[in-house]
Amino acid sequence: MSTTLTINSFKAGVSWDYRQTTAIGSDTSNVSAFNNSCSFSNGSGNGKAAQVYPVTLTVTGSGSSSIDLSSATKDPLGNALAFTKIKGIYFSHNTPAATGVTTITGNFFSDIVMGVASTSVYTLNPGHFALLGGSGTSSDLGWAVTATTHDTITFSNADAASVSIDVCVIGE
Amino acid sequence: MSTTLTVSNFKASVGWDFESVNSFAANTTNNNTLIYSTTTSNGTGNGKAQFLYSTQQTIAGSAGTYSFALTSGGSGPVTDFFGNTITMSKVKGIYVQHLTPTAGGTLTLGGNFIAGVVLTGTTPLLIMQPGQVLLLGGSDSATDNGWAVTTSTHDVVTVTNNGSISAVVNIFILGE
Repeated sequence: MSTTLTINSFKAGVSWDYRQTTAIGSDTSNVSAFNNSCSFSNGSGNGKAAQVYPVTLTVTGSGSSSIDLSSATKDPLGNALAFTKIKGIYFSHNTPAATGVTTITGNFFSDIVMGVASTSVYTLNPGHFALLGGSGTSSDLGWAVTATTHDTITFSNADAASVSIDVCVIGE
Repeated sequence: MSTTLTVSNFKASVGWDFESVNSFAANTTNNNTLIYSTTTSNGTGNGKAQFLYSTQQTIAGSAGTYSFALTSGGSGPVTDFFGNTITMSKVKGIYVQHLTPTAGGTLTLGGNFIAGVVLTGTTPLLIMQPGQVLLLGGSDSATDNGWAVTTSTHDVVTVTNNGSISAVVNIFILGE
């Protein structure tokens, strides 16, 4: 069976109300926001995605869990996944009470998203999240996935108790 | 004069409609959304922030950089909207938006704060493709989250434009 994928929202936004009191009269204020919103239609190339991998991982205390983006994972419809390019990444640490961080590595995340060296480590603090990526119709965005050499994301839990991590990877 | 900061929206979401085409009946669908949303009130500690650095920069192409420090003792200290010099001890949120999708090259985030606190390793960088966005961090009332800022050693953020033309970048750093 063929599949169709529509990413109808890939959003990041921040809004603030920043004020300074004055000696006389009303506060000086800056009330503003940054928002980024994009979508992906089905397929490959500019502004498109064809595969999605959402999962909630339970990473045991002092343990690790890995995702293989080129094999061994299945989409929500039960089909085997084999990404060649990642367009969007979402991580959410669902255990804010944990006292130890979760670090994110793996030869895809360390070498491609963080570049430079396979020793690169991203620190996901308890209760934090990370959203990276986006879609543009004028350029074919994405981080390349290469089977075996650049296809894994690894979550390592430094806390003694298990933690829950929501993951969603979008690509083609 | 005193300042107060309220962040009413710090949010990321991903929503999808994934369908398997069925030849004899309705498609099998998986339609879901993941949402992370939080706020901060003014102050320090759990669920709070009190400093905001927000700017829009045009960074020259061919490895042009914009570098700034999160503490007044660092190299390139910044000011808030009211002209006050910012001295952060902890960062709760980072938002960077690349507004030039035709830049023709990546945008990288480095500097000793990004490379030594948010990331660790051998000169790591966060790599953004042209037109992409990055939102990192969070705040929770149960734990005092955040990345520690240390004057001189871990307080600089450097944004480098590896594209061939100038890139416009929105930057938002939330902290205490």
